[in-house]
Amino acid sequence: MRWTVFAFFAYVFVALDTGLQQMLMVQIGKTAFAPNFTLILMVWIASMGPTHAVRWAALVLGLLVDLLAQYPTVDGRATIVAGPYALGFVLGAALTIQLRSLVYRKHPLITGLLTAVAGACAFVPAIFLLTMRRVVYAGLDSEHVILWVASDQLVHAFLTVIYSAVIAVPTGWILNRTSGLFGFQSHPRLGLPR
Amino acid sequence: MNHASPNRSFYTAAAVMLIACFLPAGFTNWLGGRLGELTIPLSAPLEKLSIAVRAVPERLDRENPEFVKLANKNKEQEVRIYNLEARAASLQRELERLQELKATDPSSRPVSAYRVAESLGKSDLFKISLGSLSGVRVGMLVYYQGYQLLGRVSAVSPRSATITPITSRAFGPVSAMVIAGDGGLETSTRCSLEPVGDGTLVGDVGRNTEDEASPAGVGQRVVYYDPDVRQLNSGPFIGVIEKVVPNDQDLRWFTITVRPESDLDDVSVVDLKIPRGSASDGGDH
Repeated sequence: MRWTVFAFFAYVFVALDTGLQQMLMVQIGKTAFAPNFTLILMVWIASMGPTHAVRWAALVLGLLVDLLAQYPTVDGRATIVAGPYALGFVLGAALTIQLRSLVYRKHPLITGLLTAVAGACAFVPAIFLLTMRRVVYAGLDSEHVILWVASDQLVHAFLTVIYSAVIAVPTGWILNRTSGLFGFQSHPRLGLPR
Repeated sequence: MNHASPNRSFYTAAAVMLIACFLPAGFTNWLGGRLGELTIPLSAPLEKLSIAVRAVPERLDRENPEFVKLANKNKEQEVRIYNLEARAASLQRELERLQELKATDPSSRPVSAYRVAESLGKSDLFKISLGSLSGVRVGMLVYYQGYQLLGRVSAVSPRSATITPITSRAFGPVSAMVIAGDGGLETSTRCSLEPVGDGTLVGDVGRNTEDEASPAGVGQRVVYYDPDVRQLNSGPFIGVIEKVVPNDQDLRWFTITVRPESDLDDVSVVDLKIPRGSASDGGDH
């Protein structure tokens, strides 16, 4: 995989996450959610790329999501926690690698389906790790305890994953057109067309 | 080819990420800030596009039926609060008035009675909702808002009483005192007023010589003077001098027209001073 192309696409998709959030945000009751374009990119790369590169790409993309997510704390500030989504994306990528041999990954609908499954696999561990962090910091009576309700976050994550899966269909179609830029090596086991 | 090396580096990175989940966020806050700045060249135009395409949250909130419902409920609450505050102010004034009544005559207790909407024919008499069972007696003075002399009790039944207004011809002559501008007793002038029947009372005031200043002027206050009590010039208020006409035949005398401030048609509650211990066991109501 060409890492410069990956870096460019990572930059674009992270900017899409930030820039289009306002436009694409939907509110249901008290929960407001928007699609996660970085998740879509991770799933698509995981469905196409070599395993070793996919793991590192998922780690980097997850870290980017971590660095752009801010969590309010009890002392009225906001904090950034590195690691939860990095590890979550790695697990999501691992699941996608296992599932990609069972499906025709070039189809845009499959991108949406894989996004839904891998997204759930990615968000749940991230929420778990953040909840554990809150428990540890609350136990230490720290001022940096994040304001966090795990159940609300699970609902938010579920809605985000569903929304992302819907957006992944047209996005996957576009990414499929650019797959040649990434320089994915064809491999008999992956079954990529030459 | 050593596959252990790439795997080891990845597992090491994953372990670092796991540890970073529980570390204080000093460095990551800084790094996140720099990453956010890096994405601005691309994300800022997209944000502007988002704002242009989609209404700002404030406008969306105003159009949101939930918000409109809450805003209307808020307005209703504001009106309720306003009305409650007005009612509280009115009750406070009523309390102060009753306390003032009580303070001026400790031998009596102030009570209020409602004007009964009962026709008494062509006369201007009216009835109130208290009677002999509440201690009302014939001859008692009736006030409006505690200070304005309204009339006199002319007939009493157990649960109601008939009031003759001070402006009614049936009331008869009214002993009064014109309060001087400086409020002093020496400069105040006694007079006798007669109800004309048109809502005013007319009387004559005089001065010793024509060179003296007029003893009465338009706007001066006129109070009730009880010769038996001989109180100072702070008796029950009758009204304000509306007109002063000099007597053509004797310039020492002036005819004054006094009009009460309160319009009888507007009066719905009257006050009386019931002597303490005069009410029956039934109590007033």
